[in-house]
Amino acid sequence: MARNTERAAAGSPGSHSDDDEALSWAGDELRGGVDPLSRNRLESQPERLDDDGGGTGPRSAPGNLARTAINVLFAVLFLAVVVGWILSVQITGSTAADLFSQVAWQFGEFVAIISGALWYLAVLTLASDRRTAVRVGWFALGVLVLLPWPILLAMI
Amino acid sequence: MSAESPGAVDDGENETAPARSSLLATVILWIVFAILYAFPLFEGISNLIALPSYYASLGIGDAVPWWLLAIGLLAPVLLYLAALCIGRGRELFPRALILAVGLAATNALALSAVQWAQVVQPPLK
Repeated sequence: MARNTERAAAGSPGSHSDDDEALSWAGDELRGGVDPLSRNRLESQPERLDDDGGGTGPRSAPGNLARTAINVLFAVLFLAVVVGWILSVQITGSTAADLFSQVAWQFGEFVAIISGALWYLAVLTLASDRRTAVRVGWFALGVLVLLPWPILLAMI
Repeated sequence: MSAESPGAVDDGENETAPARSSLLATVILWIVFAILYAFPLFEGISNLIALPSYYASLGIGDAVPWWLLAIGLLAPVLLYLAALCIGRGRELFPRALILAVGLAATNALALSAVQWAQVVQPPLK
């Protein structure tokens, strides 16, 4: 009862939450005591800092940076592939007269245009957990296979 | 005990039904993409048949670009098989995405082969 009275007298409204009040006694701050909830927070704080700053941080940050740089680099390259195919289909055309061949040709041109985007998305989603070298290999293979030769040959 | 037996049977049916529908969806996916891969394959076969005789009629029968005809013929088959192998053991969407990438690459290679054939064609005599 005495402690409850002391708490009621010492507790300032709005300074603690209900949980904090339940786990602390009035006057703990004056005696240098720390309530269990705050103690747990204080003890866990340095560990978290160590994990972020000293543990994986220095190793993972350059890795993530390199991964992001590779993704951006190949995004630009595959965008160039898509643009190249958009230009390429302007200079190619089917000589077939029948409707089936015309439709097949148009479909082929359409999927050729989106081939770069599809390849990029596929590597991004399906090889996200692979090593960087493997991802770079798949990206580079895609750029080589999907080179928009019609427009490149026209420019040469 | 008697109440548990039907439950056990139901569990077994519930386990096999999604597996069966997944297998059905995978087979349908294979068939749909096989048809889509057949377009460039048909084109490659028709080029293989028609181009040598066309070149011969023009008097440049020795300059048939066999390597381009081979690309047009082999790319659809090899990329379809490669897509099936790479997609093996994956979910339906990754399988579909890999098959779509292979299809797109097949058509890009076929269009490139057509353009290369025009470039390497020698001047007519």
